[in-house]
Amino acid sequence: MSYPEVFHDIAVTLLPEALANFRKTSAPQLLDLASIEKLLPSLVTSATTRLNNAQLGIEHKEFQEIFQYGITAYSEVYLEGDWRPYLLFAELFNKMALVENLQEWALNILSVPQSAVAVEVNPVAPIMLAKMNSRFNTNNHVLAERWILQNTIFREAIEEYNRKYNLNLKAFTLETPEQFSSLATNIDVFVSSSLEAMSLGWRTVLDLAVKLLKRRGTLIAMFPANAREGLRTLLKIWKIPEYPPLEKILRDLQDARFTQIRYNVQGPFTLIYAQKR
Amino acid sequence: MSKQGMVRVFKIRCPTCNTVETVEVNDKILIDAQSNPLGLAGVAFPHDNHVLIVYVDRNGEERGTRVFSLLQPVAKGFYQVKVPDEWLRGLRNIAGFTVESKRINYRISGYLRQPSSSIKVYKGETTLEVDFARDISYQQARSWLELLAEALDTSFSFNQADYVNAIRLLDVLIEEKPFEYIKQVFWLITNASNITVKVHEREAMLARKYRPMILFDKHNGGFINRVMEVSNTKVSQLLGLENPQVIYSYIEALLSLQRRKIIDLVVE
Repeated sequence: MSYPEVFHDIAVTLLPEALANFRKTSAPQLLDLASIEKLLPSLVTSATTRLNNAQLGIEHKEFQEIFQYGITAYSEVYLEGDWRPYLLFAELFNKMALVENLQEWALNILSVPQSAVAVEVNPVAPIMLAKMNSRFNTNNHVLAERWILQNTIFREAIEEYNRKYNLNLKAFTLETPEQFSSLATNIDVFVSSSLEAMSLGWRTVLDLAVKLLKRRGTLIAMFPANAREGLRTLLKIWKIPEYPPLEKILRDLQDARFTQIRYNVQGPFTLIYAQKR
Repeated sequence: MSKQGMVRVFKIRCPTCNTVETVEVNDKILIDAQSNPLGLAGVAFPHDNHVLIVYVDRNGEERGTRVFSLLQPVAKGFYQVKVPDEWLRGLRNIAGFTVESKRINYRISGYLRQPSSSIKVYKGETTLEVDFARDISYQQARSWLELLAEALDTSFSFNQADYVNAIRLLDVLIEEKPFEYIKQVFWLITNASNITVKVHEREAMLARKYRPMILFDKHNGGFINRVMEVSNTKVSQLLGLENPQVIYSYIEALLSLQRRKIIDLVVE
């Protein structure tokens, strides 16, 4: 049998390798990793003991294998300036059963008008847009930070999705709001489901959704339960800040006048689905 | 006073004839390296019966040399090749072509039908002339020819199939608009005989196991699996002389794998 903190324990066991990899680089992530270095031996010992007594399922092994690769991928960015493994990792993350289940759940309950306008925020590979377009023939937009849109590999990847899935995509830079002012209150579906989208933090995602969604527009947002040590430090590698607990996120949504709020929890990730009033 | 746009200068000795050459790395070379899937640009020095290529990376650093033997010394004029007619059958828009590369002293041509119009473009030391079998938008055709000529100017291939595949691909693409990574598509097809696929085992294992959506939904899954199974294969062997649409899909698949570091494309 597994136990609630199993993903945190798996994350803890990945941290020594992360620390060793990032120590070879001058990456800013090293500071976060080094800050728990003294605690790591005891954390790893207790996590390993618990993991040895648990039966790990396929979703745990996927999480372990893919995030282990993610650590290598991100350290290669700093070591060799090679972003290609990062792109592969981003796509593998979307193939984890936990993440795919959440995305499928949202797409299965999603109801949109004809020619709906969709935005995916901060994807290095616009996978949710591709999935939505296949089902709903949406009008598609990417809203991403400059570091994504100016990266040659990600630009090529976004273009590859654009061409292969006939997305007819328009891309806007998040840092220049005047560029995407035309989207304000015009969006039917706002999606935030990549690790890079999570790195924006809950307030930014919510504020963007409030600003861009039209009345009855749908917010689909994935976030991690990373308050506890393990995922907290592991996800800091992807610059993901600590997210508030689910109850607080649900309250924030109500305060921001969202209704029809539903959520689904898979392992350490939660996907919320809500409509703007 | 330094020359405008000059980043660095270094000397290199040709391993075949011992001639010492001065490589002047300028902004254009760096831009070429940046848009190349390998992150390399080749600087060519013709030496009588061979050509020395010095590879420079996107930071302007020297990344090795390669010597290509010429089929005929420069003094004797172009080495000329005519491609068999049957290789050009099935072309919709193109009636014939000539490529002349002073870099490798090579002229290759093939003509199948009477042309209705013709366009000639020059890039670096390469001339590309294409005859069209039917009316075609001049502006659009010219921009495509310039893109292809730019790729041909980086090629050191003597394999007729590389040129014919490039022309057959052009015949298909010329009705579309160029896209973000088209230069890479042309670069790969025009250099196919000199590029080897090296598989990264860890990435290939993860790709096989988790099957990233775009790789297996939108590219030829059989081809993707074949590439990941066999390392050290020449791109030209993988492409063969299939129909242009299939070759195009294979090239896109190779670039897609390379973009995810599942394979590396190595000049050999």
